[in-house]
Amino acid sequence: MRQFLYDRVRPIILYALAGFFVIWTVAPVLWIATMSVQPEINYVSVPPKLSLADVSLRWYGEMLAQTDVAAALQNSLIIALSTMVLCLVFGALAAYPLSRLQLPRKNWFLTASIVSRMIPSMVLIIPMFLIMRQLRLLDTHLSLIIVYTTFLLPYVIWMLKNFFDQIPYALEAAARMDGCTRLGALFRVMIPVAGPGVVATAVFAFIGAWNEFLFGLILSTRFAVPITVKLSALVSSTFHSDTSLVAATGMLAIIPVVALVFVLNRYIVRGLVEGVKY
Amino acid sequence: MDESKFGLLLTLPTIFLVVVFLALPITYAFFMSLNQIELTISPDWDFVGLKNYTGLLTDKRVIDTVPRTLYFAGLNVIVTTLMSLCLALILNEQFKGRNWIRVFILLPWAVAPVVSGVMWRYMFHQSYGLINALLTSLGIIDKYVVWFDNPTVALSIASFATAWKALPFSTLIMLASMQGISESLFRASKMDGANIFHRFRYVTLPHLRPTLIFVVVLQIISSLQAFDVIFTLTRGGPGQGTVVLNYLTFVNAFERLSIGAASAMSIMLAVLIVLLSGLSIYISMGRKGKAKG
Repeated sequence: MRQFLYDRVRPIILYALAGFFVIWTVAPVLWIATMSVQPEINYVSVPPKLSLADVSLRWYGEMLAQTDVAAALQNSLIIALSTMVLCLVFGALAAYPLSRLQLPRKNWFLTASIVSRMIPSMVLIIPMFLIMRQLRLLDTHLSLIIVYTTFLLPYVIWMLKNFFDQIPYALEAAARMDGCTRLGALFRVMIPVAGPGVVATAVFAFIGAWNEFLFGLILSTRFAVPITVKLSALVSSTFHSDTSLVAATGMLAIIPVVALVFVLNRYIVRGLVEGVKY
Repeated sequence: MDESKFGLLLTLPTIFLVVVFLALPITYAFFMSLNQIELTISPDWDFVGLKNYTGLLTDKRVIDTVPRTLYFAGLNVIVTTLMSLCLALILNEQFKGRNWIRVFILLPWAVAPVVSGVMWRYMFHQSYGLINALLTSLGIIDKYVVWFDNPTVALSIASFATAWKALPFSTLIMLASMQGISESLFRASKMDGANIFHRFRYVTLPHLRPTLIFVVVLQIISSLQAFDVIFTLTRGGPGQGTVVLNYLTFVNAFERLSIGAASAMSIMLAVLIVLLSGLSIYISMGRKGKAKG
């Protein structure tokens, strides 16, 4: 009898709770997605009159046709991709000796990389603005790429080091015996073998750069404005005719990263867990 | 080339970036915090020593943010910890569709905090919020509520939005920790006649403790850094209702242009966060030790 109850009740509770979590996670996204394909009049009315017949992508089209939104998406893409590449190159170069080689004061390096992860961006934002102004880099892609790379590198190094640590020494030793240089061993053996980990790290860096807001807000004014900053400007402005346009922009700001997460979710899960192992 | 020199060479690009764009700005911020810099009045730096720091303790605006920040952090910690614990327990069970749910719950992690602020703003919007529509159709309220007019409600929504975003990550680390519990412990406890609650209380929970504390500390840190979500959700409103510590730093720096005072605040915040992070790392070192032992 107890077993029977258990078998009957367990799935009900499991699915009810799982359903609640799915709704909790998806509802805010689904609502903005709904708003982005319906005319404002439909969801402003009480009760909302959502209709399949009115579904249209024209708000997306309208926003993409606006040069500043298209430019913001392009800016975010350039910045995030460049940050990702720099993070991987510099990160792999630094993670390799930390994982494999003799390094003077290695512990000092490891501690420094942990401490630099803790520094909140609010401390850096004013001086960073002044430094970038001094370097005449304000409102350029480069300034944001530099800032994001610096900020993400400690995480990236840590993740890559943890992935490299899992690769057996013998593999590398064999490559070295076959005449591979140390750098050759890094790029021909370590990185390919750590493949999934490297993918996870790359996605992590890309998303980190794409989603950043504070530095984008302060360091860009016109030409380098990323999509997160553009969206925040749209939300608070009263000049747009239709809230569906803002909703569509919000969707445009998350579609690339959400797509990445859905396609590469297995790698990401591993990468995230690896990033907090000390 | 000798191995350690070669290793050092490889880390040079990182060292360069960290020194120029991390260490230098922090030093810069520290010097600014020792000066009175009111850009609305003049561009001059006026050395005042630690006055900006002592000034924080008597500044009414700073003091007002303390209960708000505590409430925000408290709610965020409770919601995130309980929900991620519950979700991790579910995902640790075998059932059909589990892998799909695992993918879906990652969604908030990918969404930029700024966008999550927009989403929650639209969920609770006074004229087109889903919450208003649902509550009305269920007959719970008879006319649309202006949720963001009430500071406590607005602050709670901000906290929920932050917890929403934090759920996937904290669930993943809890799940990883749960999967480290050896199956034989469960079998042994089952043989001893333990039911599902006993097993949770005496096997799962003790094992999870360091991870739970880690999640709590992590959420305190993220609450102290809350900015993006509030910026698009409420802009600090109604009045000063959702101005938490980190948000006030931003307002002081970029709206009031009190650079010295803002720097002092941000340095204090950074010290607090570094201390808390140190604690969280200490805990997760314990986590690792436990997993091994």
